[in-house]
Amino acid sequence: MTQGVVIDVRDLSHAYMPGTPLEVQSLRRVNFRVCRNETVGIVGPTGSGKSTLLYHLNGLLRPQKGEVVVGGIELSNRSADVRRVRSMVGLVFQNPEDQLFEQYAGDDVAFGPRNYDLSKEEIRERVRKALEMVGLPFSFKDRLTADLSLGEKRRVALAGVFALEPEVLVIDEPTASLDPGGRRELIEVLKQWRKVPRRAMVIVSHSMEDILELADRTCVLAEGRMVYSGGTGDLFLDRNLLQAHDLVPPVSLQVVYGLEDRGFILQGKFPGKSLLTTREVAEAVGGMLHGQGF
Amino acid sequence: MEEKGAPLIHIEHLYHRYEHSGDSTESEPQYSLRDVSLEISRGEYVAIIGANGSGKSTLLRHFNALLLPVSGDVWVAGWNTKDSTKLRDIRSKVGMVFQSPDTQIVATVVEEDVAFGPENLGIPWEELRYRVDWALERVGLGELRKRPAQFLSAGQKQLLAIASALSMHPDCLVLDEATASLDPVSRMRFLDTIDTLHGEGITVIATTHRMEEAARAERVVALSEGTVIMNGDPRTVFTECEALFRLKLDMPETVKIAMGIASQVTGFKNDALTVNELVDAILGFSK
Repeated sequence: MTQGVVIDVRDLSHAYMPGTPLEVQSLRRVNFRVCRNETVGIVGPTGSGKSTLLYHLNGLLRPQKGEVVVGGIELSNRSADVRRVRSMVGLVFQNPEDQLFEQYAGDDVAFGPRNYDLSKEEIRERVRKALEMVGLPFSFKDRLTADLSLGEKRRVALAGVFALEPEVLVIDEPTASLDPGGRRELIEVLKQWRKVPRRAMVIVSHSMEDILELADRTCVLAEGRMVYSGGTGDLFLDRNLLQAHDLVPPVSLQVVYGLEDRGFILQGKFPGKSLLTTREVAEAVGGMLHGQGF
Repeated sequence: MEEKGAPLIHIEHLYHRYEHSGDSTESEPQYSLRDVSLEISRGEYVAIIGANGSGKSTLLRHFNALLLPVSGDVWVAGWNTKDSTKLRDIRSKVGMVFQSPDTQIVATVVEEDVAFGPENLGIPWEELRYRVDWALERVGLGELRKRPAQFLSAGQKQLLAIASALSMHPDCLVLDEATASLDPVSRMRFLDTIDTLHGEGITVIATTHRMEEAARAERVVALSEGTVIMNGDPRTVFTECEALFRLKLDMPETVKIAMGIASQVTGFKNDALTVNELVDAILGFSK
């Protein structure tokens, strides 16, 4: 195994209800690798197998065909230490706030650590740190979960995963149904979390803006096949690739391409790679109009 | 259908409060809507925006009498929603599409789901058949009519939800975060379908957290803590940066880019609501 690889998925196939007339092939010979210190985005239409792939990354689903190796643990081996894998890989489902069940926020955050052999003080410390990581004060532990806003609930749910101190965070649609303010806060929390060395993150999203902000590398799934894997910038800057995989780029790039179609080329003057975000596009266009350099 | 421009939904001093579940320590009555007055005309396309918990969904549920005012009044096509004898009329005028594709389909096969509403009204067979054909055609699901609904993609399920609302021949479609769980391609297709229907005269009222989507409407209403804070055309609302940020909202990306350009180039208009509009503005300026 290459140094730094923390998740290695090889030739993974998965079918739901195999051997029945309702059999659906969800993953087809997927290869997927995550290294430490990187964030990998996964995009693809609904039903392309994104969530199925995620469920394999902490052993919720075990490989039917192919291999999944997490932190050196081979998950196709039936006697694999799944508990160890789950403490290493924190999985955050879509709408994780639906899974809050304790009356007080702090108890929900403490639920995971309480299942490990930790002292009261250690658990308390974990809760404090986890709440801090999601931008909530320690006193938040005494809040009633039922009275929290959606954005707050989602952050409490995320703190519950952080409290297990995972090395890899696997997160499904983190910003879906959040208001723009809640989205900004959550993106910031995720950016802070991954600053710690050796951590890795896998993020599934329909929001290309999320992917652009967070993912160093992006993989595209289509009908259960991994059809692209490469730098996020390379993907969004390659129109043929976007078209081939039926992907809509972030708005900033839609503007770049709209201009390109009408003969106004930005990339020529501003070497391609950094021309991605709203700010970069605004500055490039502003610079050109201001200098009237065309 | 009555003439375009006449009021379809008329709200006066609407207050709403959910019953408390009992285990909360709150003793103050918390209103989820406070003194909302609003008028929506026939044929209008109105986007309702606001932070999570600002009261958007609660307001929407008053438009077809799923919820009734605690105080104040809501009239739909001239009928007061408190008048229970008009409930059927109101519900058939206002069709709703919700966020989750899986929770709003009642039948196992596509065309049966579309037929469900009018069938319950006792619409004659020939007319029913015509309505189902027409509704499926409108959303482009004609070829999938015999398919089990469970085998549709999320995007197709949302289109089916529209078709099922359309088969009731509503005057108005109310969309509650109807695009939230769709992938970008399905979302564009859904929004294009909505634009077409609006073009044909249907009133559209939609909530969304995507400002790009809200910018497609003719009017934007912003709610905060159950109160209407902004109410105006998208160009006015979406250039109020500070107010939007305070309300946990945002500007559409195109407005952000336009403002970024305008800060460097004097005279550049800063309110581009769509990609095409922004591209036109840039090219226009460069000549």
